[in-house]
Amino acid sequence: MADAVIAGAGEAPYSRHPSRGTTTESLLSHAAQRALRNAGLEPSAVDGLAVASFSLAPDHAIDLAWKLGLRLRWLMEDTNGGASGINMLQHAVRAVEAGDADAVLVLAGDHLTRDDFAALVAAYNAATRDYLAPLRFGGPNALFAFLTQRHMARHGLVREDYGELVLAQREWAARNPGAVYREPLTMADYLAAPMVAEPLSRYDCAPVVTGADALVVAASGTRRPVAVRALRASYNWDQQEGDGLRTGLALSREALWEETGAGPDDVDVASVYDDYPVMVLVQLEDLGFFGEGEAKRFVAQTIAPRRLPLNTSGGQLSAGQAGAAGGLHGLVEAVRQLRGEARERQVAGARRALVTGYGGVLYRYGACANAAVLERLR
Amino acid sequence: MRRGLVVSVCRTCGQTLFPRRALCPACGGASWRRGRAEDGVVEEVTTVRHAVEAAGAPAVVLASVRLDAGPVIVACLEGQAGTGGRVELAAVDGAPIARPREGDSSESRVGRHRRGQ
Repeated sequence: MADAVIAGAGEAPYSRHPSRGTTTESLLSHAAQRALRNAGLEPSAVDGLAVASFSLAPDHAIDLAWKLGLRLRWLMEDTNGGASGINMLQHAVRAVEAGDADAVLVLAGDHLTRDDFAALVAAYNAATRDYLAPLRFGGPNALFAFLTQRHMARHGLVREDYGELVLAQREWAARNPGAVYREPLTMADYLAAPMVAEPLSRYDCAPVVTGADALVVAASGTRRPVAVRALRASYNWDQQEGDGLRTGLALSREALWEETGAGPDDVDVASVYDDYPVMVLVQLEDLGFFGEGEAKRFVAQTIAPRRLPLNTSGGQLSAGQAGAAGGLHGLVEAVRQLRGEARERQVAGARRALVTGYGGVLYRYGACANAAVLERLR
Repeated sequence: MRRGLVVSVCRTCGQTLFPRRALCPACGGASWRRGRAEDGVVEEVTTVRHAVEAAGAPAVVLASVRLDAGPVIVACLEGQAGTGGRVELAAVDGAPIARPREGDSSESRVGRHRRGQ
């Protein structure tokens, strides 16, 4: 069995106002070229393609392969929202290990106009279309407003606690030229921001941008390879009958750390899926970064004093959420950190990274949760 | 508008679900009967001030409601009710609407224990 590694990463610039002529295809192509250059591979070496995009329709993965001029023997398309990046990584690694492909391009990105986005959230699935959209629910913000209220009541957090997380990520974004929202933010700014759906204000909701991300998964032997030490996924773990304050990551925790031979304290850099600040805390708790019910203390002792390099690109909350690219963005950032390519925001000596994905909101909260532990090999 | 919300009740194990499923997550059963959920308790309330699909439209008040029959649903809230307030359900085109139960002031019910669990 061949060893599979992540050989390169790239991102098409995120933007609030993309230039005329920008299409989903042009973004995915741009990200692909950057990742291949980063991996030192020619497009002709690619024999596998995975893609996630809400705005690729009516095209599919095969249309994209055609337009990118790729001759392939392995192909997949993923629809798992914020969990799509890690899901595609899982399949790509297995494909290379099994010899089904030698070099897989993993792509995700979107160009969504305001109308496209409105249409996407109103018909995200049949349950949303039939039972939420008729209420004029306005997309997932209201659902995560409920979830945040539950989290506050259960664990005694106040808005400032979530604000600490937002501010910490904004500081990282200031050091990332690829982040869309980089201007400094104070707690007073955060608290004074217009409400979107109580208790969520503008800064609690990942802003929609245009962009794309890419990874190259290939057989080992490439420059500065990054290994996937462990990868675990859980889908529909609680049938949407819980409260959303736990994710399927809780089921994955033990195996994830056991396979890695490491624990939360050994993580040098973390990309935790951040559609809303509350979900960052929920996932970190699920993975054992702090004990049950200790989110407030974790914010005070770890986030506020900046003890954990978390979402070092600025995360989706500050870099922006480029549709389906949100599920790949954290992986690209982690790979850059582990390869020592994060420039101004480089975490010195970063060797091990944790990346999570979360998404697939069925009716009340996300049903897909996955995580990977990555490690620099040399 | 129709009083009560149509829910699915598993004929095999009695589990009540909303939205409906194909197979019962509790017992795997595939046979359902229609139930009607009329009452519930508000768990959270939020006002959606910036709805992407309706820019400039009036704010919408939504509530997360635990039905006495079991499931937690998302409903449009018409009238004043806070956490713990009892509401009655109705449906417009199958989508849930919650209204404070007549003679039940939500303020007096804040902190009331959940029922129907």
